Amino acid sequence: MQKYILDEVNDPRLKVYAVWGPMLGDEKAEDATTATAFLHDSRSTHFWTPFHAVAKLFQGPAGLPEDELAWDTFQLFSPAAEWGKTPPQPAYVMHVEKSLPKDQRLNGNKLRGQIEALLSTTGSASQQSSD
Amino acid sequence: MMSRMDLWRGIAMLLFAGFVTQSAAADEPRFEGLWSGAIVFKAAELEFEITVEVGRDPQGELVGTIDQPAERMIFHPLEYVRTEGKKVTFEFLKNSESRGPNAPFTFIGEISENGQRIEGHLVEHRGNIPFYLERLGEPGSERRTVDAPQVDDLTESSEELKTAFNDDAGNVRLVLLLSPT
Repeated sequence: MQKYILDEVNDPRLKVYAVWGPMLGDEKAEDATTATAFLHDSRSTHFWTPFHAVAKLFQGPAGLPEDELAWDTFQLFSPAAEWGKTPPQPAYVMHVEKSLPKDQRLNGNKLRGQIEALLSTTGSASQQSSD
Repeated sequence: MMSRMDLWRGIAMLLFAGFVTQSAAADEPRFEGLWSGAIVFKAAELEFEITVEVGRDPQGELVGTIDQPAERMIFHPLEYVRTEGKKVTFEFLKNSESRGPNAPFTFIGEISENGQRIEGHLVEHRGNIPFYLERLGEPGSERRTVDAPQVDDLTESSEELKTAFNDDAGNVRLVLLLSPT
């Protein structure tokens, strides 16, 4: 992610939220602190959660079935997206080993292309409305 | 208390420091140095960062360490470091679920003409895996370090993420849901 996205896309209008959680079951908060070394950029915000709730929240928008949490997904949102009662529909989703289309398996180059395409259709951050 | 990593770091620096000048005179591309790169299981999909540092001990033998952060390996000693012309071979031992205790992981590569890059493969029983390294500097050089970013607690409601997400409206936003291990 750092090498293919953050090192390559030098645009302050990209914001990244890394949510580290108990996908495998025995992860701890200190593991998250260590893992941040893989994603060090001022545009990144890191969270640690011991709960699966966030992975449940993003399950539907990602197009995952009821029994599959959204851990190991990478969800891209347009500037207009707003989180109301539930997270909004992502503009693009990539995943690792999920029951989603194979052509959406995580690929740094492909994800960067999607990010750059969204950025190219976006004005400067100050021109965007958050209403 | 000095950790095992600190100990190795200290030993490595002592060993490397005295031999930089001596080996700099060699004509062949030199393996001695600080290198950074990746083992590329699948380009842009599954890559593991590695850092390799190679110097010479007081007997003139090549020695080194390897870092593989994804495997929590920092300053892990290389057991076998050889060069033959441009060809380099190095190896480390590590317990492996599939290969048993102290399994050897062997890298074979070739240094580029300008001495700035090594390309080769990690020998695996299911097939070789490409790797590359790019020279960062001499052995003992200052390593790239990053300050660990702040990690905020996310409660069960995920309200903290929702607030950050909506505060950044107008930007392209990428949400990653990951295991830290």
